[in-house]
Amino acid sequence: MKLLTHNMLASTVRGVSQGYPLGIAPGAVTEVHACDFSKEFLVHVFPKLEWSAFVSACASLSLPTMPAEVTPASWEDESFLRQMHHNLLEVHVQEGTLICPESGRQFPVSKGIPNMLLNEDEI
Amino acid sequence: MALSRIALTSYRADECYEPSDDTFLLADAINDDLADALKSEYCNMLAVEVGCGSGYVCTSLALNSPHIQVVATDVNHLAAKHTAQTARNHKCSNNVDIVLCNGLDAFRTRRLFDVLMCNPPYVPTEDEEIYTTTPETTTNHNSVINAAFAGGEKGRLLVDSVLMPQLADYLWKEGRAYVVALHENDVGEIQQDAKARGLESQVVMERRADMERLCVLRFTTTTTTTTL
Repeated sequence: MKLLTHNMLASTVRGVSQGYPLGIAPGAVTEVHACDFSKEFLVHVFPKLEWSAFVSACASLSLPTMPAEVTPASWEDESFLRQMHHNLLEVHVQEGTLICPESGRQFPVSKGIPNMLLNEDEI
Repeated sequence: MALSRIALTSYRADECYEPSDDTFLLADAINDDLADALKSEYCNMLAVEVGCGSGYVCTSLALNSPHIQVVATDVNHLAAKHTAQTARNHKCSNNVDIVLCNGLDAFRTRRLFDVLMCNPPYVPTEDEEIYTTTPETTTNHNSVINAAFAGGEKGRLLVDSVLMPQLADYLWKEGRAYVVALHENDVGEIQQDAKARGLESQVVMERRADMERLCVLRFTTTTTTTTL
């Protein structure tokens, strides 16, 4: 699970109104898989991101810090763009636990795949 | 334009939906309809496949460019495993992320996706066979395989109750959704329903396969493109 994917996931357990963003429990196992850098892709995907959720996810995984705000100057900052690319697309959470911020419900990540399936009594 | 190779596609008929005529039709329709975009060197896309099965369709799209990121979902953990293997076999596992969830339930409601792909269960069936998604049923292989086929009375249970109400919320401006349907599903009625929800629709490819008349419907948002 990339942080790009994590950024889109939410807990929809019955009764939960703020199931976002999902916490990442300490001790997550990550792998890095290099992929082609593209500024255009980052520009394309940025409006779809919840930036603050991405910033806290990076912190949970002890990745290099992302700035709280992205300014027009950020898009000309090569080192920022490379770091954003790395954190968003190259770091994969292989094993770990995602946590609903409201209910505390845990969602396991196994072999890189988050299991967001709910039990019948949670729907 | 790229297609997955069947020899590199991981599946077992008793574990996930086996690549079939409808699978190939969906992959062909997407390649065809997005041909111009896929040819561009700046082909940046965020895509989702609902019900990825073997992973044939999402891998086909991902193979087109390193800058296409696909999220593939399924309720069946064996399908998730096969999709991961299919993407690995095609050396594009960096472009395909997999999530076990029911439809788009686990995604925050926000316009996210440039492309949505779905080959839903569309065979008209009796009620007791209908699409069920709880973890208890997904550990039962027969239920899992039935869930990939059985579409309820008009074969549209997933489309009507899950996909159509959510499409407009999840499609990015100018985003496109591709959904397989059977003519027996009453395609005209699906299109009317889409219109009522502010979606434009068009049949982009049709094919006769054995006794079935299959088509791929493309949905686009119409009402909101100017506000975004």
